[in-house]
Amino acid sequence: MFVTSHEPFSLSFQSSLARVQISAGGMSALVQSGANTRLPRFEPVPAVDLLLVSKMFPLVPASGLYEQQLSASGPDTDAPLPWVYLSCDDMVADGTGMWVMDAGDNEPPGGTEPGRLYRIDLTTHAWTQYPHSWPFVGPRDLELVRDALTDEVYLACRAVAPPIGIAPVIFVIDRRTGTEREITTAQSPESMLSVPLP
Amino acid sequence: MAAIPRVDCASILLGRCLAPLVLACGAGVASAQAHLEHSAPWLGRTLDLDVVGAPANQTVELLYSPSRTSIPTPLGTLELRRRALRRLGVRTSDGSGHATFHIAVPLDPALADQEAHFQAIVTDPAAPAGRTLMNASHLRLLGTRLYAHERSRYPDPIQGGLEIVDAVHGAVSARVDFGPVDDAELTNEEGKPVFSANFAVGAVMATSTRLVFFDPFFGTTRAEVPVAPSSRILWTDAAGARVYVLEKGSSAPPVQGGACASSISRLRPRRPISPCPRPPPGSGARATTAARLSSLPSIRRAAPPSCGVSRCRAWWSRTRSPSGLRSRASSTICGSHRARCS
Repeated sequence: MFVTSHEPFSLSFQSSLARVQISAGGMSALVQSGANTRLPRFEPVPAVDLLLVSKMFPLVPASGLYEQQLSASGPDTDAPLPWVYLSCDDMVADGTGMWVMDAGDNEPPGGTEPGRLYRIDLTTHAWTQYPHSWPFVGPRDLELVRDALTDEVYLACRAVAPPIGIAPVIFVIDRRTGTEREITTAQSPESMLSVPLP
Repeated sequence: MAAIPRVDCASILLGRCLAPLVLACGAGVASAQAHLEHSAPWLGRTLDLDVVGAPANQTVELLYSPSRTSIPTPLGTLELRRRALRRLGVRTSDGSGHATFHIAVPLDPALADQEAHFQAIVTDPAAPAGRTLMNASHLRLLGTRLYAHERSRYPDPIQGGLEIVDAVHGAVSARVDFGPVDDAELTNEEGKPVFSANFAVGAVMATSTRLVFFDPFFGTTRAEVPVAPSSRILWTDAAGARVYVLEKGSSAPPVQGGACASSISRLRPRRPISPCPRPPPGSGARATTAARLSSLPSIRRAAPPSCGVSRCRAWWSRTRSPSGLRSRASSTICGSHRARCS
């Protein structure tokens, strides 16, 4: 398993990612320092033997991605980014790919970047940008549901107060039909857990 | 009271937290009273319904209805709506009063989150009417589901809840209402529920000090347990029998602006940590609390964890970077633990 940590009181943004191994004999850890970056999200993709890690830079409202091998502790490499601005708020593995939720920069004052959804194929490093975007409020959480009945991506979208006035919804993309729908919720969904069929 | 499991370093790290609060309690639901137990009612799987505690070697009938009611009868309270009542089968209880029914649930999307109510009638020579209605099991057939922890953003006080979404039909099928919630916002890793293996009970942290047990089928709150300030991330053991709540370390440094501090980076890079040594018995570990998911909850403090993890700390919080972006929860191996293990 992997554990990330950071030092929030430090302007240097020092953070690290530890590979922790647990066995009957105890545990061991291999720590990699994320020099001058923060590593807020990471997600293993066993199908391609990769760990994808998002990294944030100090004073820059954007982040990058890097990948490293899961099965061995080798050097990490930057994953290619097809755009300049990315604020990776959540990632979820999908076979050999990864859905990446960019929550944008909607926070007042001055936030102008809408949230977007991307998928990177980790075998070809090809990026696909989902056409929908979420202005005024970025999605809060991303869940992927794949089982015998569904193959869908869920995004939790908060309410926006008047005068803009957007109701809280869970935005759903059906990957089999290519259709979208919204599930209206009573209040703003903040975190989600999908439970597919076993 | 069931034995409280010891907690070792590995489980603490898996929980990504420090001073652990292990929630578990009590014996299971088994009692002398006859009752109906069930497995998780997944679509495409077999639903097992076990009559437990019936008179030995007697006839047991299993009834089903897609809707519920409550009607007093000479046999007891009928909890199934009569109009749609069906008899699913008849068995003879064994010498210990057990009878089992296996029901194949079709993998039919139309059935997702449909109500399914079951009740057994047992021949009971000791009963005045010669037969007894047992307590019913009120279920929904489980398709793909989504659980969304939500909170109002603008009204005061802020209200919270858990939406139970039938993902097959894209509809909210039930909601657990938390009432007013007054602590900090959630990150997207927090506030996710855990469930017992048969889905009879769910548990979720409504706030960092409130653990809520609920009925995953209909959203009813079954119990609410106050806890010390804790992570809102829960996890269960492999059997889904216990839920673990992780209490924040009491010796944490001051938290400023909701931020949290920890640093694995202080560990020497690329140096393996040797297996964690066992501390001497009774060395200053935090008390832990444990409870069982299958029986609602009388929390009690339990034995301390088996290694010095109580002296490690981790804090979960949502914080803002200097750039104004959100950061994620973090965890750590710290101070004394590092000293012990490195």
